Amino acid sequence: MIDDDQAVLTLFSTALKKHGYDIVTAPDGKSGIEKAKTEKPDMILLDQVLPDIQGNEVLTTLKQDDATKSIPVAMLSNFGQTELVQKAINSGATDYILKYQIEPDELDTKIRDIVRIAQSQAGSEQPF
Amino acid sequence: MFVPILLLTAALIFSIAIFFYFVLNRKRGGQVLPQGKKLFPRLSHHEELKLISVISSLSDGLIVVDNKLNPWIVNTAARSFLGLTRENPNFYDIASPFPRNLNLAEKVKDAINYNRTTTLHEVQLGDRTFQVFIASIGDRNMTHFATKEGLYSLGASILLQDISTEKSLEKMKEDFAHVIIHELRAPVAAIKNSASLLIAGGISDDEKKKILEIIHTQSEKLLTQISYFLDAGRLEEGKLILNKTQGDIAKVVKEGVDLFLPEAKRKRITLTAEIGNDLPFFYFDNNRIVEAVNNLLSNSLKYTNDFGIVKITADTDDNYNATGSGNVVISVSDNGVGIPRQKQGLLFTKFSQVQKEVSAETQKASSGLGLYITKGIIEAHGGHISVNSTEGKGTIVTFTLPINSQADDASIQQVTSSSRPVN
Repeated sequence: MIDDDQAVLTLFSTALKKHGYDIVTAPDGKSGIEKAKTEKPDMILLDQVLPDIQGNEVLTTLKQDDATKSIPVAMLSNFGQTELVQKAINSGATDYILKYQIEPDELDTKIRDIVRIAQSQAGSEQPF
Repeated sequence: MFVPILLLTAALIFSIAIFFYFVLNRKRGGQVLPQGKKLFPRLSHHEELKLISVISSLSDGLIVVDNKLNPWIVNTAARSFLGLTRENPNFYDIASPFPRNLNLAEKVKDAINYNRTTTLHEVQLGDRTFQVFIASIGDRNMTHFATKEGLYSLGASILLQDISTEKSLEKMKEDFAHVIIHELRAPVAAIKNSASLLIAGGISDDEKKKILEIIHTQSEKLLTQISYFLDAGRLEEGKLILNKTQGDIAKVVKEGVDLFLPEAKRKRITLTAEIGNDLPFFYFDNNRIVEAVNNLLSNSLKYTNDFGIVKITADTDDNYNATGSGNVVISVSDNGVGIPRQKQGLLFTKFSQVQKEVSAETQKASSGLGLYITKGIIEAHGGHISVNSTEGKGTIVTFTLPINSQADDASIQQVTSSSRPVN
C-alpha cells in the first residue's frame, strides 16, 4: 500500500490483517516503486496524490518495468472525477477506489475481485 | 460588461469611419479602399491619425477585412496575438494561426454575404485563449449598404478578446474547489472508516487505541481546516477580527520552534532560532501571530529536504532602535527547494497558492491557504510580508509587526486585507 496518509495506512492495514493479508507500506512514490520490486506483492493499492511523484507516474513506472508490470494496481483517491478515473485506468490501473466510499471490511472482497480480473486479463493476453 | 463596451467602442469607431466613407464618398458605393491609400480620405490628416491611434491602442485585437477578404485594418494587438510580422499581412496570414476546424474564412464570408454575426468561444492561439467576434460592417446601421443592386457589405470585422486570465482564474477556482473537497473528505473518510472498524470488531486492544487516536487527530485536522476556510472567507470580506493584548513576541517564536523541533528531528533538519535581546512587549493578537509563525515554520520544514537547515530570527528594526517606535522583524529562512521565480509574486494569493500546491490529481493536496491567511494576519496588524526565494537554493519569508504600545482605539479591530500579490 503506497500512501502518505498514516491514517489510511493504519485503517486499511488493520482491516486487511483481519483477513490474513501481509501488508507492506510505503509513504511515497519512490520507496513504493522500490518495495514493489523487492517485495513483489500480489497487488498494490496506490494513492493518487503522493508527496514526491504523482500516483499516475508511479503507476506508469510500475507498468513499464518487467519486474512489476504484471502486479495489479488499484488507485486510491479522494477525487472521483471521471477524467481522473479514466486517466488511471488508461495508465494501467485495474480499479479505482474512492477512499471515502469504501468500507474497510469491503476491501478484502474488492482486492480479491481486482486480482481475479487482473489474472483473467493476463490469461486472455497469453498467446495460444 | 467589458465585452459590450469594447464592442460598442469598435462599433462607434466603425460608425464614424463608415459615415465618412459612405456619406462623403457615396459614389464609390461598396468599393473598398485601395491598398496604400488613406483609410479615411475625407477625414483630415489629423482626424485620421486620431482615429487610427484609437484603433491601434485597443487592447483587444481588431481586424477589418473588405468584402474580398483583403485586410483593411490589423491593429497592434491583433498583430501581436496572431504573431504577424509582415507589414501588410494577407488573409491567409491572419487565418493561419486559428485552428483549422474553425473555418475562419467561411465565417467571415458568412458575415459579409449574409450579415451573420459569429461568436467563437475559447479559441486557443498559442498559449493564450480568446473570444472571437465576427461581424459584418456596412451602412449606418452597421449592416449592409443599400444600392440599386441590393444590399452590399463593406467587409467584416474580427475582434479578438484575450480571456486567458479569466480562464486561468477559472482553473484556479476549480483547483481550489478540489482542495476543499480533499481537505474535508480525507479526515471525514478516516473518521468514518475508524468507526466502521470499531463497530465490526475483531481487532486487538492496541489496534482499537490506534483507531481512537486516528479519530482524535483527524477530528482536530478537520476542525483546523474548517477554521482555515472560515478565516479565508473572513479575509475576503475584510472581516478578520483581531484580539490584541500585550504580548511577548520572543516567547511566540521560542514556542514555535519547540513545537516543530520533533518534526525537524524526524527529517534531520537543523532548526534554530536567533532572537534579539530585549525584544519589547507590545500589542498584537497572540493567537493569530502564533498561527502566522507556525505556518511559516511548517512551510519551511515541508519544503526543505532531509539534513537541511531552517532558521527563524526575530529582532527590532533600525527605526525602533533609533526612535523607539518601529517594527519587530521576523524572518524564516531555509535551504529548501525554493519557489520558481514566476510563482513568487502570486505566492500569498488564495487561488495561485492553491494552484501551486494542487492541480487536483497531481501534487500533494493541501489547502494552501496558510500563506494567504498569514499575509492577512500580518497586514491586519499593519505589518508587511515579503518573500525572497531562489529555486533550488532556498527561501526567506520576512514579516514586520509594528510595535504598538497601545491596543489602538479598541482591542478588537475590524480590518480589511488585500489579496494582491506580494513582490
